[in-house]
Amino acid sequence: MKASLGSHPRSCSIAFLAKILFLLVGNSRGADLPSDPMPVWMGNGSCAATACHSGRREPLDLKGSESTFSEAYDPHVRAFSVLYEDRSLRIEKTYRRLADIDAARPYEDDACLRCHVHQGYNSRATRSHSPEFTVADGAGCESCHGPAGRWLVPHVQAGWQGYTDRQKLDFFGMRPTKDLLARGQTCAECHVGEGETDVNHDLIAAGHPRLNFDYSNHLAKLPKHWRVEDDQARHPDDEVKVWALGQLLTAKASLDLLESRAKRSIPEESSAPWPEFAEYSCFSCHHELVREGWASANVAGVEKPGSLQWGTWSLPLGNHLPTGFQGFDPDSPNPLFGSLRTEMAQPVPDARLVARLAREASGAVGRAAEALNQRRITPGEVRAMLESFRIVPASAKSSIDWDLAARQYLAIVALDRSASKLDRAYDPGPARQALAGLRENLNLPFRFDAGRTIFDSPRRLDFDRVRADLRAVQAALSAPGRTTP
Amino acid sequence: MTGLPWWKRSMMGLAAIVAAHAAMAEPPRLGTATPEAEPTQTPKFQYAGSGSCKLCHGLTREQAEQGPYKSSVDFIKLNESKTWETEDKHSVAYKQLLVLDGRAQRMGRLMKVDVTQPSAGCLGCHSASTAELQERVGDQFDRTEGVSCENCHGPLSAYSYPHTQVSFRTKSTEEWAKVGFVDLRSPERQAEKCLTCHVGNVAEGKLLTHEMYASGHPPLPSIEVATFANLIPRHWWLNSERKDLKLRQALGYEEGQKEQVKMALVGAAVALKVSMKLLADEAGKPGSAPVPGQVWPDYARFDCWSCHHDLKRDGWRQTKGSEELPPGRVPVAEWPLTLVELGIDHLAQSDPAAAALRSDLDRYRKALGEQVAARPFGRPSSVARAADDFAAWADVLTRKLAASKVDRTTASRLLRRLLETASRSTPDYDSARHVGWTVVLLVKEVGTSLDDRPQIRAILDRLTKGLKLDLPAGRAYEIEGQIADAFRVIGDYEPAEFTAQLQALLALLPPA
Repeated sequence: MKASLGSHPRSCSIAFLAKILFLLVGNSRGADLPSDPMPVWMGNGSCAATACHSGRREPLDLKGSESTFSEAYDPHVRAFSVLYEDRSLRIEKTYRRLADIDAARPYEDDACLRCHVHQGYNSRATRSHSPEFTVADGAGCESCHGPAGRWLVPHVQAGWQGYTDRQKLDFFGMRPTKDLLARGQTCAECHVGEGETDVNHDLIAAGHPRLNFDYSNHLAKLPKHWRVEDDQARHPDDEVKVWALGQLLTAKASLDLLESRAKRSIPEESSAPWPEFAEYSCFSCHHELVREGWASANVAGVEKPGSLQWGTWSLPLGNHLPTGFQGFDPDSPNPLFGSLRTEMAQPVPDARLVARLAREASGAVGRAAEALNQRRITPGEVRAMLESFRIVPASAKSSIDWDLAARQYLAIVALDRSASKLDRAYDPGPARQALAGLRENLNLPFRFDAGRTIFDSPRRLDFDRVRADLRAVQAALSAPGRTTP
Repeated sequence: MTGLPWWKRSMMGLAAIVAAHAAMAEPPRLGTATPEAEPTQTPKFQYAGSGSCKLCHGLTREQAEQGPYKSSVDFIKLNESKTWETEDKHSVAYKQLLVLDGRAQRMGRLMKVDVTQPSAGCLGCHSASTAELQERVGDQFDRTEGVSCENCHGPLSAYSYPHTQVSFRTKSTEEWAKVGFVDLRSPERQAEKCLTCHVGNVAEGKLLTHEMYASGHPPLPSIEVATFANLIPRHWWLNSERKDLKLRQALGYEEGQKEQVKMALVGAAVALKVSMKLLADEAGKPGSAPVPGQVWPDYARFDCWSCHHDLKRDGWRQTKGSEELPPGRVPVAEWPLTLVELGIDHLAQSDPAAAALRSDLDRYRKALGEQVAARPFGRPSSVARAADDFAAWADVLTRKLAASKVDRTTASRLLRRLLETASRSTPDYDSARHVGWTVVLLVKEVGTSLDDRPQIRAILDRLTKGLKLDLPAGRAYEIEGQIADAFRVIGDYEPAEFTAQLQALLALLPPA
């Protein structure tokens, strides 16, 4: 599809009626919806009618002005236009090994558009897009809420409220974004990847940032086009829940992607990369060898010196999950991740074995996520989860790498936020001070400046200091008087 | 014997060798050879340790020049053992493994092995005791001597007497081989000897695994053989250094030849051959070396700095890209290819047919590149085939270069050519260093018209400093002090700064 950067109609007028007409004519088997498998994407314009989601901008009563708000504040709307930037052109040139930057058109490359527009985007499947749809909307409303072809009309009609979330999804293709697990899984489709929507090491090496998805942190940063009070009314434990669910759903999405990566590499003629380096800790290799030996001496769970560290970002920090879910820690003595880890530490893991093991592990983690989603996490559990960071997991000993330290930081921040909301007696003072130190030394948000040069790796990071910071945070978490017993 | 004057001791050494030879009247044992075995099987010579070598080769320079064998000093220096033991770090290769809490011991702890035992895989290079060599170890062999005389010259048992004869000096390579004496007079064999350890050799169990590196083994640098030989320091004469013109001639030297330059060209081709052979053997027969933990792919066979670098935004690696490899894939080390083209240029100067070697080089490089690009590290059997073919071609190139002639005019032309091609490329650190050593060598060999000019000296100094071309040669255990600094230099390396120096140097050369 040729990119069009033109403006689109915002008003509830002829354009909107045209769309309804398109739906009725172009998709005339409306009565027989479930048998029509092709989703139809309508474009942001359909949502942005003044009477619908493009209401007044201020004051921010968000109900009714979701489109206006998102277009103003949500970075997802820039997902497509960012592909015109120099950095994107350079990435595309390197990724596709083009002779000339002028030949680089990331904005026409489906490999990019599958996230930078919507999951499953296929420029050749023109029938699946309404004439009003434009890639220029970037990751638009439907990228998260689902293609609107089948629900655009019904969802404004009487009786819509009567459908369950399940029915809205199965019959109409609208996603249950109010459900915290489903919401996170939606994010993970792009922010972790799935199937061939894959930010693999080839793409990262071409310059695309690594996807360090952290549900809790990402959601906290997202300018929300819905009423946060509604979220909290539905889920009083939302902060801790999002963090804990994030651990499990990220692992599940990563394991599914691993299975797909392994399977794609199996055919003899396959050019899919295997081993897939994006599965491993970036910084087990990508560090200058100045702090000699820190990698082998400091990284947890090293099988033998010089083997790569798998899953440092994707596997759950299971030891810190609520009671009953701690078996999902990669270090716990269960067979769930053990054999997978051993195999992934081989220079070229057995792709068939990995695919099978990843599938099994994904199933188990997925079931755990469903179970956790059904239950409420109590303030007492949040306290226990925070306390759990005082106890350094036995296998880690003095081990730390950037991934692990950063994820511990993000976890404690999320739990601290949750405790502040749920627990009147919680005093965040000491922990926050220590967290600030850790944050500074880890260089979050991740970017290492050295004069005019920018590094995307923790260049010459002092791991002794990081370890000391972590100890300070742990000490602050156990400071007397912090919580009521 | 300590009471005797040194010259009596050395006379007695010779007498002892003669006596030993007389006692060993029968030809060398054929080992376990059976009637079915191939009749050409190499006899199993025995190692004897360096003790008997020292009797003749352990003089000081003064002793050598004044003593009873002074007439031989133009052929051999006679202070070889002395130089080796007092100035050459190869002689402490084994002892370094013993340093309490030293690097080797720390490595052993991380790898959970005893580094002094053959089973750990260290001794292949740090001594001579791989499993295969152990069978051949004679009574006098002492593994604590580290890398000693026989590691390069061959096990002593059968040549100990013959090699003392003046007539033996100019005998053919084959004659020498019959008694197990390695002909290090030829540049290709000399280079090959160095590179069995300095690059690696599966059959001889001389292998550095990634596990060893990750446990703390210092990185093997790229190696320019002529420069390295001068640094260790050289315990032999170049032919051009010999005073007796007849001896020079008898040893195949033509006046005006630049042996060091030829050594550099030959050494580069041998480096390609040895590294391709190593890759082929490891990919084709994984686990065949007597070194524990050897697997395919061993990351150590690939370019270290492709992965081990900090992720600089818009770094030179991304700009450079690769013809064959997708981004994010690991190439085999690039440096053994750096100087090969210069060798071909040299051959093409006197033999127009040699220009065809350029397209050969492209073809083999591409073939290997495609195999390594097929998936990360490539499919082992295809990589093995491509690397084997490349090694065979490099062997042909080596022999052509070894038979070629290099005089001062040639050296001067090669210098210009190297500066022109290298300054247009984007060499990685190891390649840049290989170029750097060769440039310094060429300037020196071209001579006073160049290396006396202060502007040129200044550029060479900058190259030396910027690329750390000075090596911790010598017996002092200097690596601990230097390694962090070396890593820093590697991390800070920018090809553009290097090629700018080459361009500046090119501008200072007299017109062609």
